[in-house]
Amino acid sequence: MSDKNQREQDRSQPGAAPRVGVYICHCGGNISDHVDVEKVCSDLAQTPGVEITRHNMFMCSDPGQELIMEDVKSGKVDRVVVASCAPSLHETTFRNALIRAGANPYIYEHANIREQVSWVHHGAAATAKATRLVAAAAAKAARLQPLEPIRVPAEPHAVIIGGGVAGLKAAAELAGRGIAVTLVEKSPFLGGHTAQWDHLAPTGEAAREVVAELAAAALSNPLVSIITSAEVTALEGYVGQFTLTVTRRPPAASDLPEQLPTAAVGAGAPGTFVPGHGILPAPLPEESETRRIKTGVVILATGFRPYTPKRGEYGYGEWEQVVTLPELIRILAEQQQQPPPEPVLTVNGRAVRRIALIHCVGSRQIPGIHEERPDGTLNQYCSRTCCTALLHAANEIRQRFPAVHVIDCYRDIRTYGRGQEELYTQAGRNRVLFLRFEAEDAPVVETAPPGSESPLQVRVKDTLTFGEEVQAPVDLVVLGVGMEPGPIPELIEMMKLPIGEDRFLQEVHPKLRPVELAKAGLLLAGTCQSPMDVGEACSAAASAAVKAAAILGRGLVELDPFVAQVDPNRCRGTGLCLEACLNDGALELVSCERAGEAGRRAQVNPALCLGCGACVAVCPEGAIQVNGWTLDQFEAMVDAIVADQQAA
Amino acid sequence: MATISTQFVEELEHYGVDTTMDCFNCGTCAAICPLIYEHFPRRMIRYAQLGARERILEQANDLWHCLHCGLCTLTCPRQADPGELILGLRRLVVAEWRRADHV
Amino acid sequence: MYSPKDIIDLLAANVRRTRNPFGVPKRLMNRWWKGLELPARADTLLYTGLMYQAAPYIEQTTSMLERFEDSKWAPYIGYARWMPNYLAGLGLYLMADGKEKTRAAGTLKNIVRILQSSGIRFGYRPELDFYSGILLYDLGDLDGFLEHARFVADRLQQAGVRRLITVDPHTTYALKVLYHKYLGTRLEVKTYFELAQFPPAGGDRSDTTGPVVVHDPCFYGRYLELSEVPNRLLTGLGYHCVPVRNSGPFTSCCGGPAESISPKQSREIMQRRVEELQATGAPIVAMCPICMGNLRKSGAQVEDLSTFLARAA
Repeated sequence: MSDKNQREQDRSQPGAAPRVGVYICHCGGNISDHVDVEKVCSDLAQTPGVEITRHNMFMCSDPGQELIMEDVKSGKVDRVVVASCAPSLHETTFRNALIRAGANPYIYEHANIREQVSWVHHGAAATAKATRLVAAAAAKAARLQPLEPIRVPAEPHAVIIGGGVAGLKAAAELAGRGIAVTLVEKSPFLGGHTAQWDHLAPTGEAAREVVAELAAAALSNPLVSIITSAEVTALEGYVGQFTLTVTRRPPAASDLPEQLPTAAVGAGAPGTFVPGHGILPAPLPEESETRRIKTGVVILATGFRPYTPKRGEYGYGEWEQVVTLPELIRILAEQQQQPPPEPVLTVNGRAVRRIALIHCVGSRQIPGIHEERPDGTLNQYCSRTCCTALLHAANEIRQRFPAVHVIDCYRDIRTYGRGQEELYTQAGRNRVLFLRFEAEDAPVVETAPPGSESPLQVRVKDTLTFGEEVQAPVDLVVLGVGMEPGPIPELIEMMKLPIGEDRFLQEVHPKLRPVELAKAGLLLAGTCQSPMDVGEACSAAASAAVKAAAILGRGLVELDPFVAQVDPNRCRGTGLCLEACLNDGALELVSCERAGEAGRRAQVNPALCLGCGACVAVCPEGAIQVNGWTLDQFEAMVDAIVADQQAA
Repeated sequence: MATISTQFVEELEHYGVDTTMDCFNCGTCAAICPLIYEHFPRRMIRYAQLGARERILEQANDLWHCLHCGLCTLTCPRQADPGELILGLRRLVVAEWRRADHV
Repeated sequence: MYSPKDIIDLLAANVRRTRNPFGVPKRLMNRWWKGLELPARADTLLYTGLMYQAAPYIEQTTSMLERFEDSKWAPYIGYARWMPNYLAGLGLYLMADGKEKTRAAGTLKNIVRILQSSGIRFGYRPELDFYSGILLYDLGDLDGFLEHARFVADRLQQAGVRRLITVDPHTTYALKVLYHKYLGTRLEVKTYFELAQFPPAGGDRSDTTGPVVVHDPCFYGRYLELSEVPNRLLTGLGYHCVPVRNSGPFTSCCGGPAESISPKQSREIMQRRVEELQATGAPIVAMCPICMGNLRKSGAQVEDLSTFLARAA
């Protein structure tokens, strides 16, 4: 046993009175302008169990932390209370200071006297409340026991669900760090929607080359195995120790592209790029098969699907001259090379002279204006990528087919990223005519009056013309459809994935934990989280890969020890705690021997326990407690608060 | 209702204006114009972009309110030369009148 | 507002007939040079473009137009082409204010003195001194302008003229920029004040010093970017050029260019500019006959730049 552990054990001997140190922060005046810090110190010094009280201008500064560490190292104190800002800001800071001082980080209690006191109370009342809160924290601290984090061995393996650009990028990044990856893709192809595009905005690079490069990086690494035509059908376990069931099925004939080179499929030429579909990495399965994969983390890269306009929305489905942007991209990609001077754009066998683009189709929908889905939801979000993609297409049309005029009907132009605003400027130089409409006055697509040279006309109440209605004969209408979350209801149900109001998967915190789901070990990559362009999706995927590598890198996963613990002597096996438990599998009843008789008692799976305390409330025997938040600790806090009130 | 004519911009080139579509309708020209008159010259420029010939001819006399002072051209953030565009529209309208006189 | 078509037709017809927009014969309009004995033969010519000389007629015309604007007589302006004695030609000549004609001649004589005392060698040939055609250009009659400009450019070329000294911003812009742009003429065009030189400051100039406020014309301030020059000259002569809101490239229009189409609008804009200038409390310096005539309508004290410079010449 090391000296350190020996010391710790000595201190936490039953009977040996804990020595609490109380450290109060001025927060540079934020606290001390309203709270009499010195009075709090002197009042606390009278409290039984409190050994030392100190105050400092900034307790979180290096000298402030040194103060605490010195007292701990010298053995003056063995429980620490810091009274400062909210624990979300600096609790971890001070726990780490204790670790550096050679102590257990869980002998620490935090009192918030800034947000809960000095920012909201003033004068004597502020000082009185601060004293009460710090006394309560000290009372609890005296009853804290050293705890050990829960350590779970981590399977050095990641499963990535989805083989689009985000999935491929995450796979390549993880394998590059020596972590084995299984990539599960629903379709027979890799590359997702990106593989269906021609050139990517704003740089104009060929989409198939980007996909090929990402796929090559993943496929060439022996640590990456890819299962196509497959879906994840079950998930068990917890971070570090997940088990996934993956089911592979022969694709239905209707799901297969007509132009799929059957010879290539039959011969199983891996790595073939099938235009419009993506990379075919493996032959199609001929029979269904199911396998189970043990993995430490799961990265969701399930992507998006383009919004499908309702029949009749801007004439979609009614006139063949109304197409979506992805359809236009295919049309442009398939145009025959033509000699100058006047190349003709041909759609459905007709020469096109004027095209109207319409933005925000299926995006930025507004309650009361747009029709809700049967479940009452609307796509209220901006799909972010469509403005740039539409302008990119407009410029391509004007440059390749100078005789074709483009009319761009928008609500707002949101070309937000590097190199994207330039596309808007270029569109002006390319003489794209912009019309701006309000959501409640959407453009009307209708058949052109008799005698018109074009089959359709677009009518717009144009705010750039001071609200006058203008009309234009057009030969083609292109709908700038937005992104919707990929259709993964089974995964959401099975993995209990949190979804936001926009129906995309929702991270824990957009800034602090941007690629993590609330369930530990599940990570997000790409457009399953929100609309993104290819660059952003790859960036998010790289970030998820780094997070996954950080989780798996140590070979075990450490979790906070604030989980339920059963006192086997008290537990009578009523099973009430199981009924109250919010997380399946966190509690179970196991057989045991009690006074020579076979019985049952509750057992906690610490990796799954949320530490919520629901079980504590229902146990008639008081046999279950949450570590770090035991009932006697709560009682001590309440006593301290009430005692203070009586004294006052 | 104004009907868009995408060819009008090319016609304006014959009257010395090739910056019509550079305008992004910010309205700086109308804000700085000493006339303070009915969104002048922004509205006219907008009609030129749309190719709304009939609107321009209906309101043609408004073109001659312009003082040719050049403030709009100086301050235009897109170098769309609004002053020259108004001059170009005057030339186009004068040509229309002359054609009509000769008929 | 008058019908621009009527005004343009009237002015274009006048220019075609008499080579100036007022239809007043040049020999009546341009008499200021008589008795000055300026040399006739020189490749550097003083070129007035007849703008200063036209000022009295412009004033007379616009005061009439202003009276009739929005009246039931306004639509009849178009018939003036067939009633030359009323709004154009000899009648106009007779109606124009004699004092104004004398003032215009005085300005040009001052400019001659400034150039002479600056040691500039130049000649003057009244038979080559034509109206530039700028008004037709401004009004959108490009064909009329070009027809006239070609006539003028040809005469100058045939006479072997290479350098011109101009006296007003409109003529300067036309000859320097427009003739070059549309006809490719290669004339070296400078304003008289760009050539003006005065001995270094010293001696007793206290009688001429004081605050002034300079109204930059649009063509000098914005189009030709010349506004530094008059300021430098005046400062060198001991004047304090009081800064005015909106000057140099951002100078405010005097409203003058609108006077033939809408005298009322012209007056509103002029009043706004006069308020800006008068806020300085200093006498106003103008350097364009159109600005001068228009700003003076307010009753403000306005003098031509040449008047100030000539005092030092």
